[in-house]
This record gives sequence, structure tokens and C-alpha cells, in this order.
Amino acid sequence: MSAKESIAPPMAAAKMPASPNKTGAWRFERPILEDRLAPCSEACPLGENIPAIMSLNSRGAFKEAYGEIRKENPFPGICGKICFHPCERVCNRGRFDEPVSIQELEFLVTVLSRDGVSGIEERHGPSLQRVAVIGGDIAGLSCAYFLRLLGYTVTILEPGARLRVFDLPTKGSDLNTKYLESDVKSVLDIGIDLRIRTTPEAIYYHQLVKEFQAVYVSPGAVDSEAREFLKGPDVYSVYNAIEVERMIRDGNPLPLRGKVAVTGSAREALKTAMSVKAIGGEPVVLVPFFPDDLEHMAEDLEDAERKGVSLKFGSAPFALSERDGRISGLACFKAGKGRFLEAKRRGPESEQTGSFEQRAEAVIIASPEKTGVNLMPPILQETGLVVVFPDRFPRARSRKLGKEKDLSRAVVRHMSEGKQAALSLDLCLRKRPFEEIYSVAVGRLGALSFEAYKMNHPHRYQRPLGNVVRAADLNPAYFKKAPRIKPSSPENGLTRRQGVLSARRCFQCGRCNSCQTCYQYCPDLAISVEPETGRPEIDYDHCKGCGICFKECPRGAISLQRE
Amino acid sequence: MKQLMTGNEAAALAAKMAKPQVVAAYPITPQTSIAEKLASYVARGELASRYIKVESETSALAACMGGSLAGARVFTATSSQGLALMHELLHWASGARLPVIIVDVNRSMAAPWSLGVDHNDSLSQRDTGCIQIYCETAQEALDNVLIAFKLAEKVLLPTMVCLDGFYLSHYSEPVDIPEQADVDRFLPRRKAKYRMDPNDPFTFGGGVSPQVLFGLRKRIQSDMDSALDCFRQICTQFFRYFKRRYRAVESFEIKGKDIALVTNGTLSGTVRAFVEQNGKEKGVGLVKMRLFRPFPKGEFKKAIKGLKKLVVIDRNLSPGSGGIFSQEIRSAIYGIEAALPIVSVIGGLGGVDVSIEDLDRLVDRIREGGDLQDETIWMEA
Repeated sequence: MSAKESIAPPMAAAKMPASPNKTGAWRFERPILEDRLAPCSEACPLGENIPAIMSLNSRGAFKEAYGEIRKENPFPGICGKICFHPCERVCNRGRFDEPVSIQELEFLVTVLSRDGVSGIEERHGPSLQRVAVIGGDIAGLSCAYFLRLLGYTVTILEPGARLRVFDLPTKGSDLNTKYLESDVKSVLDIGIDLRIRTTPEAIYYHQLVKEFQAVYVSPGAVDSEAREFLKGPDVYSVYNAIEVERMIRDGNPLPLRGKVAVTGSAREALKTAMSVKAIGGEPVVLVPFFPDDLEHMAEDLEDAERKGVSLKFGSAPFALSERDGRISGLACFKAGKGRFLEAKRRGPESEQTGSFEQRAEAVIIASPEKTGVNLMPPILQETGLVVVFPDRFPRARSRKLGKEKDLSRAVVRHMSEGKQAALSLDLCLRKRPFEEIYSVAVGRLGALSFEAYKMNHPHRYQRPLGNVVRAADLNPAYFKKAPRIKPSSPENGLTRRQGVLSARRCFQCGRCNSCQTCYQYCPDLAISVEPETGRPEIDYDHCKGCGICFKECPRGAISLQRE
Repeated sequence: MKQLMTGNEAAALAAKMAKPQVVAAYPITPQTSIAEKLASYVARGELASRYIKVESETSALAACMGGSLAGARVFTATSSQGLALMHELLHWASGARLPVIIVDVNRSMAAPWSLGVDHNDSLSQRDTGCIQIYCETAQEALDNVLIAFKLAEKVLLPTMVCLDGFYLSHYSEPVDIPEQADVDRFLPRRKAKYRMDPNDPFTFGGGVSPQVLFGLRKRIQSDMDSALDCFRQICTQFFRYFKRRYRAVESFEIKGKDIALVTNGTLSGTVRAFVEQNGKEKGVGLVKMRLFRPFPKGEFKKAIKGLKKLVVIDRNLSPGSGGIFSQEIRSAIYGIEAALPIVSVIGGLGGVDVSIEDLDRLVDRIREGGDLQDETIWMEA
């Protein structure tokens, strides 16, 4: 030590902490601990929270996992066997070694849990509002399930002798009668009324309006009688191409004699418009593209114009409009050149140059699956009865449920369609704008989250719905290669132990599972761990924004944002 | 026990015998074999130390500083650009009074890339508040590392032991290896008076008022001054244990000579050989600088008594000024009664060999050349 022994230490040492120096002021990028959307969840047509399900599975909590699946999917047993599992195609683990066995696990969870779970505990209070679902197919049941969870009193009206869901081909497909029955039973068990062998009179419009506030017509029922009963020319003048052809063939084209707005794929719309013109209507075809984009069909366009079909380019219809309880036309965006495709992908709030209403006495959606039109029929002011037709996914309906692959897609699409119908109906009954439904879209591929919707109504919900985690966002240094576990026989599926091991392979993309890597790496001790939950917390007073936590996070649960 | 070993092996062995609790180093030629040797000591369980693998020299020093702050004995080694990378933290280490031991295997600074020795890397750290010790032989490398630990932990300043790259780091020489028991007695476990302790939290090196900073800087200066006395005492102790005597400034055969060649590092060995061969005939002796920081002014003045001329051979260059040692020595002896003429020589940059013949020619030129005070002589290859 120094020649003269000093009392004070030779270095700056203070009892006062350094924390008053708020180094967070130096930061120009802010790390945000936010759960992000896993690609599997985005791809799932039902928007299941797959990382959460895998997390439960990896701990052997299969019953809880079953509950988690049922938050978004009324039919885990059916999906576990026949879903076309787009989730596995986009699984980030697939880029690393092999995708996680998401479908096999869904089946295992159902096998292990279906007897032990009784309905859903959480439910909104009973409602005086009553909803009828016409047709007990997959979409009808799905809609009924979600409506019931929203608190409505739901009645399924089935004209047949049994629910038509049992007409699904179980022979020659993976669809197992046992799981079909148990899934349907567990849906009905949450408190849904079922009336079979209903008379045609029971679904007369004026009969329904006495008892119900809203009606959902399932896709299976539309093709048969229900639509005819429900649809009067005065209240609902929206048709698809097939209906138009049928009306002309049957010599009943009266509703098409006035001004008719036609949309759909350009080719289909032109064809239908010419038929309408031929019987004396005044069709206006709304085309979201410009002639430059449609060079391949220049001749058809010329031909149509020559025959007196009016063409409106750059018009992208997005909703039906109504006046005094009647269809009054189509609300359209004016699409900028080259912008339409982009806009379509991003939903209606994206860039447009303006909007207008195309007035018409009838509307023809020539090929509804190809348009971005919101086919929610308007609230029928005179009667107050809300009717929802499943026009959103007519392809699934019109295809024959023959081939395995088509069956799988059709069934899964019906589930998702039923969910959308339930949410649309709820929005209608609560007199909320339909656009609200986009706030619960899981990513950009079209799935909706019921859980998020329910929580939004009226509470806030934290489930991540955007900002998809890509493989490049993960830190592969934290993961070891492990091959996918193959079940010993495809019929029996995975064992419980195999299930746990398979679920552990999940990267948990975008989901903070309290691994505390960020806490260990933060050079400024600006991340602390909440002792009870184990969740990290960032101290923005002292975080300098170095971004090490963001780089290091194994599963992309931290993002970096410019201040 | 004598054993043939390189300077790097000797330094690593000394570090091992000092039993540091934390070792962190990033490999760089010509230091690499030190890092490797220590890693293998730790891997084989011969050294119970935490060997921290780091991604840069900045991290190496930072890791050592963290260990030192927690009260541990710490060791790191580097070279050239690696030391330059440590520069910022060297200031921090001395300001926070952390006795980190750094072995710097001298290598010239890029550009251009070169692996040979000169002392610009360590001398660039002159003003960081880091003690600097230079070595002539592998034996000195071993001994100086042991002395450095004791000195650093006594005066609480980072200490650098400088080995000439390749000439010392990679040539094998017989080295007398001390007994571990003696080393343990000479260098007991570090007892840190001020250290980080979660049970008694302090903020070290936090923001202070200008006055406090001024006071702490003054304190470093006075502790540097006292380090000269400490060094002397530690060398005496060292002699008692290991029978080898070291001084801050060492002279060799200067009695009756009028000229002394002043050097540091391995160049001293060449000069020593030259003096042994031709010293009498040419009238030259050797003055060797072991310490550079703190600069041993008093001892230097004593050592050069009776000489008529000093020839300072610098294996370094401060462009725009000249040889760093010659500047320092001029400043140190300024004002003594009979001001000595000083000839500044730059030689051996980038590892250029300085041979006995070169020295012979140099002395002849100085004898013929007259004053030469205002010019720099370049000993080019």
C-alpha cells in the first residue's frame, strides 16, 4: 500500500447504488419481450395456440392440452386423424431437422383425455338471445359450439333423422366413427339443444323469427331446402353463379331484370354477366384489375362490352351494402394500379385510393371464394332476424367429399367456417362492425382466434396474433438435433412417453417459456426475473438497447424496436 | 531444478505456480502457447482456476477485471493488437485499482502485418497507469511474473510483464524452476481489502465529482512512486527465497567505462555478450531497464554515476519524437550536475536482429562521430 496509509480506499467505492444513473436514456433500440406468433399457429385453419399446447404436452399435462385445443377447435379427435396439418409444413423445426409431430400429438391428447374432460368450464353468462343453426354438419356444429361458448342459447335444427355430420364417409378414410361420435357428443354436451326431424315449416322464415334472434344456415343445408325457405326476393338478393344459372334454367329470372352488380373472378363474372344480359338485365361487372392486367382475356372483355355489359375496372368490392333492410349494392374500394393484390392480402384497411358504392337491385358473387367480399348479409332491419349464409367457403361445399385429401380439407374448412360464422353472428347481434373480426385474425392466412375474440369481449387478451416467428429469428445454438419419433403403428399412434418426447422437440417459437437466457446475458443487469412466474422483466431505466437479449433469445420471443 | 523451456512456457509455469483463481485469454501469435499451456494445466486439473473462454482481448481483460474486483487473483496474456484492444479497459483497471497481471509478448503493431518483436505495443500503454516490467531471459520471465503478482496486489495496480516475441517467447533456455512450497510462501493467497461482495454491496468506479477524481489520480501517482520501494523490497524477499537478485535498473561492467549502452528486453542479452567480449577494448558497459513504469529515476541516476556518455538503444519508435526510452531517460537525468550526452539509437524494429557486429559498428561510429546528441541513429539491417 502507499507510504502513507490512507483511510479512504484508493478507488471510487460508494455505498450508493449506480442505479440513479438512468443509462436507459442512451438507448435507441428497445428490446420488447412479447410473445410472437408461431408459424404453425398461423397455418392452422383453426388458429390453435400450438406452442402452448406443446408446452403442456411436454410436461405430460395432456388433459390441460386437450382443454387448450378445445379453446379453438371443437373436434380434436377428427382433426387428429384427418386434418391435412399445414402446421407441420411450416414448422420451423422442419428447417432444422424434422417438423414436430403436431397432428399425432393432437390425436394422442384426444385419446388420453376425451373421457376425462367435461365441457368447458369458462362460459359467459346465459343469454336471452337465441340462435338457430340449420343443419348439423361440421360447420353447423362448430358454429353452435362457439356461439354457446359466447353465451347464446343455441338450437340445432336438423331436418334429417340424425345429424348429417354422421354422413361423412368413414369407410376408406382415416375418419374413425368412434372419435367422430365422441367429438360430436362433447360438442353437444356443453349445452346445445338439438331438434331432429324438423318439419319444413319449422324453418320457415316467419316461424324462425318468432323464436330466434339469429339463424345460421350450415353449408350442408344451403344446398337443400333451407335457403329457399329463408330467402325472399325482398330481403336477400345475393346469388352465386350456380344459382343464377339455375334461376335462368327454371325460368325464374325475375330478380335479375334490373341493375345487377356482378363480381367474382373476372372470367366467371363475365360469363355470368352475359347470361344476365341475355335475359334482359343490366349487369355491371366490378373488376379489381385493369385491362393491362387482363391481357390474356382481352377478347372476352371486348366481346362483353360489345354485348352491352358494363365493366368497371379497378373496383374491388368488399361488402354488401344495404338500405332500408334491402340489398342496395356493393361497397367497393377504388384500387390503385398494381396495388390490389397487395391490398387483398392485407385486408381492407390497407392502401386504397377511396371507396364507392355500386348501387344495384341484385348482387351476384360469381365465385365467392375468389373475392375479398364480406358476405355477411346486412342486418335485416324490418324483422331483426340475422341470417348468415356460409358463402365464405362455397368450394368446400360444392366439392364432392370423395377423395381423402378433399375430405380432409373440406372438413377442416367447415370447422373454421363455423367459427367465423359464430363470430360474425355475434358481431351482428351486438351491432358491431364486421371489420372487428380482423382484430382476431391469427396471422395473415385467414384463421381466427376464438379465445382472442372472447377475451376482447369485453376483456383484453394477450395471445400473440401477429409478427410471425421465422426460422431466421431463432437461435439454433440452443437446440440439439433430434429425429422425429415415429409411432410403432399408425393406428395406435404415439405412446404417452413418445408424446412427451415429441412435444419436447417443439421450439416454442415466439413463446417466452422463462428459460432466462436473456437474464443471464444482459450485460447491464437490466433484465430481472419475476420470482413467482419466472418471467423476465426489462428495466427500461437502465437497458441501453445493446440487443444481446434479442440476439440470444432461443425462440424469438424478444423483438427490437426503434425508439 | 533446471529445465529447458521457452519464455512463454516459463511465464505460463509462473502463472500456474501463482495459482490465479481466474484465467482468461484470447490466443494471438506469439502469445498463443501461454494461453494453450494454461488451458491444459486447468484441463488436467493441475491448476484449480476458472479458465474463461472469451471472444476477444477486451473480454479477456474484462473477465479478469471482474474476477479481480471479486477479490480473485487473475491472469491474462496477450500481444500487439490484442493489447491495443485492451487499451480502454487498462485505464479502467488502473483507475479501479485492480491488480490484473498481463503478460504481453511484444510484437510490432500492424500495419503492415508482422510477427516480430518491438515494444510499441506495450509502450503505447505507457499512460494507462499500468506497471511495466521487461524481461531479458526465460528465467526472468518466470521470476518477473511471480514478482509482478506480489507487486500488483500490494500496490493495487495492473501489471504488465513484457516478453520479446520469438527471441524470448519461442527460444528454449535452461530455467531454474522454484519449489511450489517456496512460491506459496512468497506469494500467499490474495487478500483483497476492497472487493465486490453481494452481502456488503458497494458501487465501484461509479460517477464521482471532479474533485474526487482528481484526488484518485493523485493517489495513483503516489502509489506508483511507492511501487518503486515495494519493488525493491519484493526483490529482496525474492532473493531470500530463490537466490536470484533483481533490480529496477541493472548495470553490467560499467566500472571504468565511459560509455553505457542502455537497453531493455532481450537486446540486453546481446549487449551483455558484446560487453563480455569487447567491453574492455571498446570501453562500454550495459545498463538494463527492467522497470519502465514506474520509471526508476533515482536508481537510474545512481546506476550511471561516473559514465561519460549514454547510448540508448530503443526497440520502439514514437514517430515525431524518436525513441521512447531515450526521451524518458533524458527527462529523468535532466538537471543532474554533469549533464550526460545521450545518443538515441533506434534498432531492431519489427524483430530485426541486432547482432554483436552491429553493436561493434555502432560503438565505433559513436566514438568517431562526436556529439550526435541531436540526431537519431538508425541501426538498419
